[in-house]
Amino acid sequence: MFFLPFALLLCSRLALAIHESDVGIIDWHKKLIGVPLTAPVFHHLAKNETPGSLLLVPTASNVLAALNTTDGSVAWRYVFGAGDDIASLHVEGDVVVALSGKGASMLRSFDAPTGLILFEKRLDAPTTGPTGIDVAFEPNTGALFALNTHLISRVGEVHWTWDAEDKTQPYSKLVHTGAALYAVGILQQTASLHLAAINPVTGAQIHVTWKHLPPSVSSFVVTNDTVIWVDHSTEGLGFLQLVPTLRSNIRTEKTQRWLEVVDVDLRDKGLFVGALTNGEAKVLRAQGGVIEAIHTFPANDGPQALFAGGLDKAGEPFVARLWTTASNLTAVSIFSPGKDVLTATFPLHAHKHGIVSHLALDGTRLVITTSTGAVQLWEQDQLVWGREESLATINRAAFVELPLPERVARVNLEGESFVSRLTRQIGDAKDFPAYAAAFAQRFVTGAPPREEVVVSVHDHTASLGRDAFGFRQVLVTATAYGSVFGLDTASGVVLWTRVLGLGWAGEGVGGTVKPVKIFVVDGEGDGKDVVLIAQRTATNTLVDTVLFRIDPLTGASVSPAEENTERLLEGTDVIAGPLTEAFLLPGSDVIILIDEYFQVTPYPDTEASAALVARHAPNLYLPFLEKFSDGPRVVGHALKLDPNLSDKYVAHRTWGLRLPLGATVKEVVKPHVGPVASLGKVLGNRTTLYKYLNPRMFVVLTKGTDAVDAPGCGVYVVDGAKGSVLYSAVVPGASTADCDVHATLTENWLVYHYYDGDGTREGETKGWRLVTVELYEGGLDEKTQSSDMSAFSVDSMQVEALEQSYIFAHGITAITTTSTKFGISSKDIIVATHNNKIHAIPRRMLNPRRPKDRKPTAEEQQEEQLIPYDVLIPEDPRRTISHNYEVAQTRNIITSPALLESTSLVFAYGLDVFLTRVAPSSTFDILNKNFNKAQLVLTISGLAVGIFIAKPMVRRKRLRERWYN
Amino acid sequence: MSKSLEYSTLESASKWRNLPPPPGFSKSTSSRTGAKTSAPPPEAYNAIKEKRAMDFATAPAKSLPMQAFMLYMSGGGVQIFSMGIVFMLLLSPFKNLVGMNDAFAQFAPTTAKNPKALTTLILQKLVYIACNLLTLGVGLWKCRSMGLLPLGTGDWLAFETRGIAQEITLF
Repeated sequence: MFFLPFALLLCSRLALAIHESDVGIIDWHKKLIGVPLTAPVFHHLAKNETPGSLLLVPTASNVLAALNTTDGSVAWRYVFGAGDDIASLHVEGDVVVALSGKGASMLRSFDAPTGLILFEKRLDAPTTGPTGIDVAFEPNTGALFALNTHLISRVGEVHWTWDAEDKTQPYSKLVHTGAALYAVGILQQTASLHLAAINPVTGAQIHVTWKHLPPSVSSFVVTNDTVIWVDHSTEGLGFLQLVPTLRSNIRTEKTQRWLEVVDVDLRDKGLFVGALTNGEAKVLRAQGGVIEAIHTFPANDGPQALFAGGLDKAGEPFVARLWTTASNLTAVSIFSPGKDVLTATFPLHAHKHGIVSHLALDGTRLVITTSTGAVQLWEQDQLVWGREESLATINRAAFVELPLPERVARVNLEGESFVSRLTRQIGDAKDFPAYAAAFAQRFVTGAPPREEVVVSVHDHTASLGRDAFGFRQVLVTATAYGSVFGLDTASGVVLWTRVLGLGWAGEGVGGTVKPVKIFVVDGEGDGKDVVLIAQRTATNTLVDTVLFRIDPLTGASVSPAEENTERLLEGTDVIAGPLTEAFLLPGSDVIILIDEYFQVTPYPDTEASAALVARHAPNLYLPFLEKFSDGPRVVGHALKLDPNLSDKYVAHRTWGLRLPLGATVKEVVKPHVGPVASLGKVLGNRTTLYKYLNPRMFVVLTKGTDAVDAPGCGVYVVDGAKGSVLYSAVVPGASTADCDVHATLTENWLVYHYYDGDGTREGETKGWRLVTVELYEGGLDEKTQSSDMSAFSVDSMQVEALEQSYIFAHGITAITTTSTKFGISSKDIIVATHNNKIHAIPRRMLNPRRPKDRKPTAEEQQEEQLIPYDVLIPEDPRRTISHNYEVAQTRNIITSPALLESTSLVFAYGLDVFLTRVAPSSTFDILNKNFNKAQLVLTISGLAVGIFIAKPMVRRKRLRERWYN
Repeated sequence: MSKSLEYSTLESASKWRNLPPPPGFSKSTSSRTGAKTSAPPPEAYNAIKEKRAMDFATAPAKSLPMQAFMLYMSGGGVQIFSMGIVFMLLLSPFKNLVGMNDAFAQFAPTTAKNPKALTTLILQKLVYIACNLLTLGVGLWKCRSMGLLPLGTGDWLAFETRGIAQEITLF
């Protein structure tokens, strides 16, 4: 009878939702902003209640963000929608103005301290694409002027729009002086500088004119009321003062040999920088039609100079020049009128962060952004904080299990002599007292060592070793900016950073390296290696395929030639040309790479892997996307070797997926491969539905065209060996050409999600649908042994699909299933919704056998846990696994099993990155944290005492019975 | 302490007959009363014993309604009470059958050479076996209703194995 309370205790806390106490312990979240597009803008908060300052920056992820300069945290951010690309950002006072959208016609104004939108207004868009966008603010009135190519709009209490008569004159800068509003633009084809002077109050045109410029002038700088440019042919400086009549003359300065003029964002102070051909740079001030040099930066000893300017909190202007010294340090000298020039050098690791791309300045504080998306704030030569913003652009990620701790792994049992074993065991025995003490303490207090049960986010001290439950793994992520990060899944800490080198593609500017595939293979010992395959694109559009083999624990290259981690990763060129596909051969560490001519190159390039390819080749089928003139198609391939033509295997087409006319492939969804715990589904009456476990199945999502009779969006489950369609459905999209369908396939279970915009009849609704499909080998107790059947068997087409569709409350951006070590735990569906949450949908809800119009029988409830069909999947906040984090723009979710069968790691990446652990069938294999160990110990000891007392009594009683009976 | 009737004392061939009376025990009084009552013939004893044996053989069947009621009351769930009852129902027939010959030895007729032989009281023993099988059947029926009998394919699913498919598709 003592079992009962314990059984109740164990079951009392079924893990339905994430507990508040677990937040930050089992999960972590990085709020990111994306890689900055321009130099960040320092903004000193005018209001005193929020001390400090903000760093405002528009990013490539289409985000307008404000960072706290003290610690680099995100103060606020505004994520622009798709098709609403941010075009420019302007700051004045506490107002941040952003222009975005098609034609940059959407004007939004934000409150700088809070990020709240003050107003939103759609302006007139130019007839052509926007070429010049600028915003000028009118002092004191709060009104602003927005220039968009040939349109100028005043936004404020008085609203007007001025449109240039000649639409071919693209203005690009807007200057507001007390006298007039000037629009300045340059058109190099006609070698002309276009000027317009407008009355800022009425919008009336005062004057429009143009001036002839030397044809070599391509850009100019406007500061205060002066337009300045450099004539590259004569290396002279030309400038023009703006007056309302626009009658002033062009003047030139030819005493120095000028290279370029740089705007340092100090328009109001009239400051800008002119660089000379001899490497010197001068800080210039334009005032009253005169240009004077107020400081000269001497010629620097290295290439690349960046200039930036800024005002400190007191309003004093600062101008900085940053360059890389010959000894590979980053040097910066900061000048302020009336002060000494401050020069600092600091090490900026190019092998970790790339090169500096933007510079911003606030007094003596520097913010730099780099080519790999790092944002760093330096106080002279001290790094105050850094952010790795390229994590917002992860495009490949993989979990890597950690190897066993060294003390366990080092034991080499084979070939160990008796004496050495004895000495080893004696050596190990010295740890016994500590172990015993720890065990006793654990037993008495019931508090297990923290690291074992809960690998905590805050626990950075533990060395990188596998924890008892395998919650700690390394997440290797490769970003679109050519950087690779190793993240600790327990804490989210960046363990290492590597930058992929450009190799020969780096000669010249603009080469890119884009990761396309990531594989985890066995490395030396019991460790794992990560193989990253990337495509290098040079400026001359030549592409080649490079392979990087990395140790996931350190980020070091496995190749001994590249063991120096202080350099860029260069990798090995595997294919001279683009990669078509790459596959990992099952049960091995051999990767086969398929080039553009469909030749197969095995990696590693050894005899053994060639033999393996030869052995597998007759049975290998490779379906992948091929580009044709009418769009991509899914084509199946087999391998063959023709010794007369080539010494390599060549993939040749065996089948093509026939789609309805007008449909094109949108996406190929690979199945989640994992262990299959059960071959069938047992029903309430003990009969079985055998799962259709064809291991060759994959999903093809198609989209239609805009044509009237075009097919809608298609969902196909295809056999990869012969291309036959096992299941297909046509679903509506938002429009026929816009198919927002997401699908995931695991075992015999397909789940897809789409938008139904067709529900216009009575009793129907527009909205998102979630469909669950399970494929079976046939009816009750019918089996065909699909999992080991040949693809060409007659029975392989015997599929029975059970399906049900539900209304889902949200649109989703990514969908996947959980994965566990043995596949015994049920699988949840994990979706990333449009409202920036990550949801888990339990398997029970998506069981297509949920009975309609009747109640499930007692057996069905007991055996299958069936619940009656309900058309709506309720939005249960307990199923939000992302707590109250905002996980924005999730592109993909990957899952990985832990060592515990019950638990699966979930990693979502997009703009933000988020990792958590889920236990779809609750943590049945781990003792509950609240388990009352003291009670158990007390009960057992109480029972022992009871036995101790009662035993002699019973013995005496027995003896007496014998005598007196 | 269960009290059972010692039918063997009735038998003339009993070994207890020849024991000397305890000290102070007057045989004459006993013999006098014994002389008065006319001793029934051994055939009658055998008939009574046979009847008794038949009662014993049908006893499991008689207790069945009670057991069925208990089963009904214990419910269909797999719990400690219902499991106890089911175990009792499943085990007791086997226990009874194992100890059948010993149990029937006391009813063996005086003519039987070996009271513990299977052939003595064969009819009663067959009835006894049938009744115990009935009890077993009820137990099994209960097991089935509790879902403990592996009758469906679902119960054997875990033992099915599959090989590896011949064709390999890489994704």
